[in-house]
Amino acid sequence: MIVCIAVVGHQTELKILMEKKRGKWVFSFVHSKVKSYSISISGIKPRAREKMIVCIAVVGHQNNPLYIQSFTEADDALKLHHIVHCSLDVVDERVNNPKKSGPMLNETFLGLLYPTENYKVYGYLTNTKVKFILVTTDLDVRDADVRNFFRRFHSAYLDAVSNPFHVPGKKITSKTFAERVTNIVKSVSFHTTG
Amino acid sequence: MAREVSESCMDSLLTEIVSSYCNVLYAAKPELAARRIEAIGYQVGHQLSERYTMERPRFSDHLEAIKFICKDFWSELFKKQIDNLKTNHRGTFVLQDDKFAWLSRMSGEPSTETRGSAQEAGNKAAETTGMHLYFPCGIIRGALSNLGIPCAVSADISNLPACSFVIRIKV
Repeated sequence: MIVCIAVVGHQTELKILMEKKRGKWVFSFVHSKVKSYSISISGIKPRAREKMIVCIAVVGHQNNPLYIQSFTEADDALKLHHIVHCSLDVVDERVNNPKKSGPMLNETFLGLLYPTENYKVYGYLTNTKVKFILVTTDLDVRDADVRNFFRRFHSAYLDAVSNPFHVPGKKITSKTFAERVTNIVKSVSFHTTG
Repeated sequence: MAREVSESCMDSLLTEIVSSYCNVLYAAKPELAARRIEAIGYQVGHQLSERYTMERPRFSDHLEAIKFICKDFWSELFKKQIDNLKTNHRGTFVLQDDKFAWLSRMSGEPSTETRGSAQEAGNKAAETTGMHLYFPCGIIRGALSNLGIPCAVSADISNLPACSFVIRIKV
């Protein structure tokens, strides 16, 4: 699979742009003499874009992490932590805004963190100031689906927190909770394709 | 999937908690026993408030949260609401329950075995009954602090079986 071809002359400046136009990857070379070459690779199909939940995190009311679980093979745990952390700021901003919205927040694109992947980040704030952050890959995600997901996740969270051996404020270490979350994620992922 | 427990089991459990903490575990230190019981109540209230606020939109101010305690929270716990709510609008609330469920089966009469004056016996009875109120005070305190309202809760049993809980919100 050809990803990129670069030719650099002795005194030429080269700019390589990666762009996605109409489903094909287009690489354009801008020569210093205002000549541009572009190579388009159309044989690459982007991976089947079903809605895939990349990661789910629970953050306590002092912004302390209570639970984070990722569902991709490539474990970029650090990248996901970073995304979740950034989204907390947006949550705080929304909360301090005197607009009255229900317990559900919708966050749109966090912007292109990487040129190859888009993430949608959803937030949910409970009455006890616990935040759930959901990171998912792009598609037309229906509002109802996300709400449904959060409701089921909330009730799994409740059961985990009602465990008398759970110390409030510490991380959730229950295996049952992890299993339930995985099941919820699986059942939601299969549901929305195409 | 909800499991149920009989009310008499709850009553017996609570009486036994108070009895073992006061007479066995911290026999010489009633203050410590009271604090331990209140701490248990705190954790229970913390977890219960999480569960019972699930379906609701967020509270806009303290009064909303207190009203939630008086109505929904109390009815989930005791199948009735608080009968009277008073406030001085400066952070103190008095919740009055005319027939507090956990005290309804306790006699307010001092035991005939105690010696000494009737007044002393009366005081001792009040003290013992008062011990049973640390748990519900803890529940209220736990629930409110989970909703973001730190407070101190105390109980007042001047006229049984009615019972008042005084909530002082810490500024």
